[in-house]
Amino acid sequence: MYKNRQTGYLYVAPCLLVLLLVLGFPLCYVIGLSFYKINPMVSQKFVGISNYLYVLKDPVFWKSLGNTFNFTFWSVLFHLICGMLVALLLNRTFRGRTLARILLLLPWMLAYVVGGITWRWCLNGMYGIFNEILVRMGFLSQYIAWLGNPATAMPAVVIANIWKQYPYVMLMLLAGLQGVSREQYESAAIDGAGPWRTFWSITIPNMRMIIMITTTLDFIWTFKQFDLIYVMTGGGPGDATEVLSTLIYKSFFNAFDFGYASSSAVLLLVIVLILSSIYIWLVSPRRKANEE
Amino acid sequence: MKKWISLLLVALLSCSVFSIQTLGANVTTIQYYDWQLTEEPAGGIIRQAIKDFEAQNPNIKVNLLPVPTAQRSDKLATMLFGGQGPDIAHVTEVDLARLVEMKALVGLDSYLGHTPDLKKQLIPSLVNMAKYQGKVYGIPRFASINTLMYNKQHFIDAGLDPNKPPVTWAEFLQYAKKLTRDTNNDGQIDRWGFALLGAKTLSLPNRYWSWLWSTGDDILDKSGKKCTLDSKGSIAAIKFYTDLSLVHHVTPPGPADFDYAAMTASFIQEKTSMMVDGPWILGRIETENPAIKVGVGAMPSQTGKFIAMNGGGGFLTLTAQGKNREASWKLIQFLSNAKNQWDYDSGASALPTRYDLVEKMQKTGSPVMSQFSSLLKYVKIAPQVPETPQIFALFAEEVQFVLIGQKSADEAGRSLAKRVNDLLIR
Repeated sequence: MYKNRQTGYLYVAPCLLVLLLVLGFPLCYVIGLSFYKINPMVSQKFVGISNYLYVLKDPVFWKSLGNTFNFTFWSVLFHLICGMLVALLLNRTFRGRTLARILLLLPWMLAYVVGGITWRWCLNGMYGIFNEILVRMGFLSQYIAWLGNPATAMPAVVIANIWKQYPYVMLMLLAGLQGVSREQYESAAIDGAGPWRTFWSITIPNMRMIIMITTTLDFIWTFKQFDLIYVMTGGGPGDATEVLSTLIYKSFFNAFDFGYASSSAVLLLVIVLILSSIYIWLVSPRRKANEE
Repeated sequence: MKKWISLLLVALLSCSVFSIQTLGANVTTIQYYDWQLTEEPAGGIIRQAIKDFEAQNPNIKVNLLPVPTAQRSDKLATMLFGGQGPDIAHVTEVDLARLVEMKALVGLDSYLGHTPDLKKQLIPSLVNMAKYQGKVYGIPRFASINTLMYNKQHFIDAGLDPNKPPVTWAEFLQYAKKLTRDTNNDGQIDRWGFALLGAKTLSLPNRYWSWLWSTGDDILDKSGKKCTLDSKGSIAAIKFYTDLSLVHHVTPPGPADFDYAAMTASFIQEKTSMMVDGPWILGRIETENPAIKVGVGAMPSQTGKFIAMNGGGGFLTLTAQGKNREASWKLIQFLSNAKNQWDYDSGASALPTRYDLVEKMQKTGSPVMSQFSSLLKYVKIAPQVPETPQIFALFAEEVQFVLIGQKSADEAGRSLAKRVNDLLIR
């Protein structure tokens, strides 16, 4: 037994080594940086936790954290709703189903930057196609700068994110739906259950686990979203769409404030770790065994 | 026989490998970092000049490092932090002080001392922009000026004299109101007097500072250690700038999302009549809408008393991490010689940096370029402190708060001064 375990460790050792190099080193480096006041390429001074105190007292950090939760909550909620609707549709048999699957996956295949630029131009206040369509349909009397108004900028980036990321959720849910046995649906039909009742009493309970796992993973990824927001609004207008990842990027690369950036990054890491723990707990075999 | 042929082949192969290695050992590779490599027509002109340089110097190979304009500072900083700095970096005056404080640049006084022909031709006011704490760190590549540009035909259509641009703020507002029109009589405004740049980018402060300076006030006090953006003049300038959109509606809607691309596109597509920009845009206007007759004027002043236009320039610098300084300096000299600098100035609509080329431009250049050249004497640059890029970013953010109605000009000015002062102390 002991020998088997040793051999096992030996097998995973190269993988662990690579992980330590590509993940462990940068992680320790950032944690280390967060305790220093750095004058880039000239000097660095150990300042203890003062960077953390500064960040925690900074209203910009709290505003960005609030925006991050706001962006993540609405994105994940609508990823789930849209993903479920489309998965239910694609789970049915109809002509052109394969083509529909490919087309519906397209946004997910695009790079975030490409998606962001596309949405930025679609929502442009002078030339945007959305304005043109809405004006022609009579919903708007004049063009609106969707990304230039704090009331519409956050919903706009959330919509872009829903469009970009819902196919992942759809794909996961579709895989889950295909695992639900046909017999259950047939029995429900014999008992006279309608589609609504079938959805809540058969589909959802069978899919509970996969929904929880997909949503948790989606929450973690969306929480760290950077590219789309940076390209679409740069965090503006004002600080209306400033999320933690754009704030950290700007502090690091624009302001060279390494202390602020790395301590904010560590705080972001802590939040993501908490979320990851929930995910790990959800998928843990011991919990599953208890449930069964 | 076979044995001899094999031996001969081996000998030939060894010789060729040896000669390749020998040749390789003599070739010096220099890394050239320039955001203008991604811009046309400047990029093509620079590439051609570098090809000519390589042809004349077969022992020097130039590795081009293009970078998008918006990332030019970030990427250079990242390369330097990683110890992978280029040999030559093209930087603007905004980044210069910070790079010097980081000990990332090499002083060029001794190099200039050995090249008196180049030194005597460079315009001193431009060289001064690349000076920090008494030392020269960059060779001027172009001079920039952000001033009032307008569509002459729109002025005529609105009953304004196309040769008399507005001189004061009041006049500017009056002009902007007249130029804001519904051109197709559908009841909707479709052309605006002024393309107000309000997006959260460095282009905003670059195009704004002249409004501030026209009040006689400045960003920092003379010591450079206290922010004065809460002064009466500064608040008046923020109010005037933002009221153009919020109160007078003479700018396209949604100014907080109106970036440089939108500003220039609106002017070229004749959706706006006036904008604040520089000569580099002339080539694009000529290509995309040659029908526009561009007028150039000094920036309007609050009372007509102070005239100052935000300017600056691009500078070729040697980085401290560069390994091939002699070859790099050779390339800088080559790019800055009269022939190559003229190709660049005339091809990329850049304002000249050499005395001999100023004369040449006045004799052979376009009248619009001459107008730009004549305004160079009013050019002023933002204070050169290591925190300059952060001050620019904070300014853009606070002005956005006013443009989206979350702060008044007065609140933004006071908040800005506080944030900048905190930054200067920290």
